[in-house]
Amino acid sequence: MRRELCWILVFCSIGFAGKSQVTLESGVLPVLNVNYKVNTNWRLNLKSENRFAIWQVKPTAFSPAYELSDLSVVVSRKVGVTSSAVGGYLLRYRSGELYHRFIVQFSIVRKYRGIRLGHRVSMDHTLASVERSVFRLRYRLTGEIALEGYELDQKEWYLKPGIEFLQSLQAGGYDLEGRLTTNLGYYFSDSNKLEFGVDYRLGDWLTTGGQSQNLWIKLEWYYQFGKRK
Amino acid sequence: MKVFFVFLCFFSSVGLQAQHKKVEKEYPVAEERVPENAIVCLNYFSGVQSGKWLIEENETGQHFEFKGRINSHFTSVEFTGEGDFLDVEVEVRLSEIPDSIGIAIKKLLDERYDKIRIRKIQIQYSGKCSEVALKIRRKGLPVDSDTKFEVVARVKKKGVPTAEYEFLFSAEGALERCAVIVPRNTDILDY
Repeated sequence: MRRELCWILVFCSIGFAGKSQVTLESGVLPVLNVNYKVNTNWRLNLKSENRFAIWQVKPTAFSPAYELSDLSVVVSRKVGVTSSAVGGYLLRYRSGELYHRFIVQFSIVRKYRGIRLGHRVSMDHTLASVERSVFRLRYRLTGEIALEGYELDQKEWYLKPGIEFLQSLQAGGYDLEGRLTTNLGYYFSDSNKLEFGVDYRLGDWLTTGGQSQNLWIKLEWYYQFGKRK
Repeated sequence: MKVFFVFLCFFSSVGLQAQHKKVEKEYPVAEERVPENAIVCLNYFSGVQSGKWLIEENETGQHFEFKGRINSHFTSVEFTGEGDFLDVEVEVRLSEIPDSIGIAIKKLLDERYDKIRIRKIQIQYSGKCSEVALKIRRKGLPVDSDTKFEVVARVKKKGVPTAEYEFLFSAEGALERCAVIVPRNTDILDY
């Protein structure tokens, strides 16, 4: 059942993107996600993300270009067995401009047989000299499905489907964005995981009827060091 | 009960002393690779609705395990690497265990902790395969002197961080063992 559900999600995410009638930009999104466990309750997360556009549909163009870089530092405080409160800062470099984003988030992980579900509610405020401030509220639901057995163990594959809804407010204008992701991951150990997948984004739902679409091929490496337990 | 890391803590009054670390790994295995005696044993169990064979590896060696739904309960039947029957764990609700034992378990946990939330209860049966199969075939799972109860609960105590524990109770509701469950890293779901 779990495997069938995984395939449905993979096909949905691809099919959804393929149906687009509007501008679709695609490319690669390498991400490095490093965690430092300070002690039982505190963690530090450093994330680096770069975006390279490769292909554009309507108008069709093969136009490889560097798009942006993100670097974020967040501090996480464990508030329950599997829940945490996070606060941090993200610096974005895009077209020669710097963007500053302040983030707060709350996440909780629920465990079921063969699957873990992660709920994340996040708020951020982005400031830049070239555009008005943006406030966003987002909710993400992510699953971690063990592909071998009922538990995810070391040196095993897992599937990580996810869905996210974003609301944004900029200069009095309100908009929505939806994201659908499907990643295939390899669990080397509890502190070392590698994921590969697709990240489909449908933006500007209200202002343009969802004409801004992106399909990113994502490669993400999670690494944790510091105090083990 | 599968846990990623378990620190066994045979309870003292404080009861959080880590004694050793257990690492387990399980993966599916084709029925053809399962020893014949394990297949014969599973055939004693009527009402097998779904499930799969797994190999479980831990520091004590390799075990075969059948996990699935038997008589509407999620059940795990464990065998040695040679296919000899070890035990059965049947997942139940608190209301499905005898009242006297349920009350004893709740009372003991209430005394020890400020707040408890039971997340899972399993009845463990060991003995002869055919006899155990007969027990779980009956409506209303029986309890005899060999029966054990494994309880996973999230507990809260003043001055100690909230944690999830695995408790093992005897047929009389006496606590025999306790282990704190250390959850896996949640970074891939948080960030």
